[in-house]
Amino acid sequence: VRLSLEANLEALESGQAALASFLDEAGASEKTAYNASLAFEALVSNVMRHAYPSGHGPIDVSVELDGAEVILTVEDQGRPFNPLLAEEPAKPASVEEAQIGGWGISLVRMAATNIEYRRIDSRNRVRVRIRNS
Amino acid sequence: MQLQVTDLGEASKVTLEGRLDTPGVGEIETRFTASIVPPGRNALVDLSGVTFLSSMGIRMLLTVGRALKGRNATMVLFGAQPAVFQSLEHVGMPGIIPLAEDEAQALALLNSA
Repeated sequence: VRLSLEANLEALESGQAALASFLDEAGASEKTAYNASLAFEALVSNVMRHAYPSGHGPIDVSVELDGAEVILTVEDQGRPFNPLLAEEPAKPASVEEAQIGGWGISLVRMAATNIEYRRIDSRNRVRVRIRNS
Repeated sequence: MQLQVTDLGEASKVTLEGRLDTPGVGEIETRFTASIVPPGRNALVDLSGVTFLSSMGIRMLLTVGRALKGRNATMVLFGAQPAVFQSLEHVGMPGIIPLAEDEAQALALLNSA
């Protein structure tokens, strides 16, 4: 399935619904759909926050279920932003010391088997592979 | 996203239902914070109806847990479904905000704190 979204909250919601519907019809497991949803939220939120500081711009998403895995690709035309350069937050020793935000990519790393970033023709492209289990 | 507050006498219980993602947090964060932090009482948060937890949901739980600790009260989370629990565990939540299996265990944790 291919989705052309605008960087806004409504698109995040409608994109999640389209993703869930596609994966359900394609026969992905509940766990796989959950992990894909986790990756979608983190990647699209990152584009909205970092690639488009103005808060506006197009986001192209494609989702494939290729037998054993889901391949989720998120592309934007914003400023260069490689989410894989984000430092992995440290496990907190106390609630006072805990890093409050910025867990999105860390959760994607937990949910996915592979994540890659490329800057191609003034576009950011992040591709995530999630095992269908 | 739904939120319900119950007065248990010794603590407040906040029951959350739905997806705790960016839109869901946007819907309930103000009420969630207002129902727990200003009273400064111990709080139980029922996560059994939470079907999805993203980074935004984690941020909300950590923010309120920290603010409550600053008021010398404790927040205990309970009932997380396996996928939600996996994310909580991944970010190290069990070591810093108590997690219980059910309400009875959550109350026991509060009483032993």
